[in-house]
Amino acid sequence: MEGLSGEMAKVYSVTMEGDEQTLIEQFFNENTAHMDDLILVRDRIQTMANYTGCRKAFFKEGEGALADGVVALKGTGQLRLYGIYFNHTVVLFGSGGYKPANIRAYEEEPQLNAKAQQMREIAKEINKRINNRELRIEDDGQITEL
Amino acid sequence: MVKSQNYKTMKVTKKQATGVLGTLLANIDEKQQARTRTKMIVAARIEDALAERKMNQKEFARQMGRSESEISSWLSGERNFTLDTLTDISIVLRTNLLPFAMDKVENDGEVLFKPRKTIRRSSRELVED
Repeated sequence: MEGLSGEMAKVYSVTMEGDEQTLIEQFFNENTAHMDDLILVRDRIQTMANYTGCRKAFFKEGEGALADGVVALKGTGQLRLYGIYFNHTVVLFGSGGYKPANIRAYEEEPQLNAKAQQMREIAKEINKRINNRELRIEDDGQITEL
Repeated sequence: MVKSQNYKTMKVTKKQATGVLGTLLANIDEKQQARTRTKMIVAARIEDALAERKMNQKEFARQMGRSESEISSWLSGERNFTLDTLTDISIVLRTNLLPFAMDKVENDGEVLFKPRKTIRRSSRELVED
């Protein structure tokens, strides 16, 4: 995604078949009731891309099955943005949503659970393609098709 | 509801952001973004210093007299540190998180932090120093 990627990390998202916008664009469109949190999301992503790289400490792990790499971005108020963490130079963001303060786990909130589940399915497909050498992650974070 | 998707094709392309994200990328409050950026850069510097010192979070928590969950929160880039905490971290990790206030001095292999004494009268003095 241009405008989000930078020198220290490349930021990707996914456009599902039949859609024109990526999942992260849809996430922003769907959560305008939480503009302050959306601004935090934008600022944290741009800081990682341009200054710090994607540090694992900036993400909450355990949002997917063990070792599938599905994470949630930290420091974004009541919004949850799910993604796949590859390494410090590349991250792929999907969608997410609002997590009410009284909800302890995303499984308790159906819409959020659906977004997390979607991210797990996408992670599974991408990891399969990497293992099958159809996709490769370069040292600078670029994802290339083989 | 998650639609079932056909994952047969997968292409990698570049894209300019549109919609709300596009608007937010074109309208950035510099101060607000700088605040977020500073917190994250400080957290990254602490993490790097831990790695340089080969210190894990548990040991760092012990030396700082804090809980491990608090240390984890420090490294998440959300924390607005006080000067006191940054001073303490600088000393424990032997890294200078406050270069405008402290000078790092090495004496017989031991790292010390001394308060910076020089008073800058003008910006020209700063450049010539």
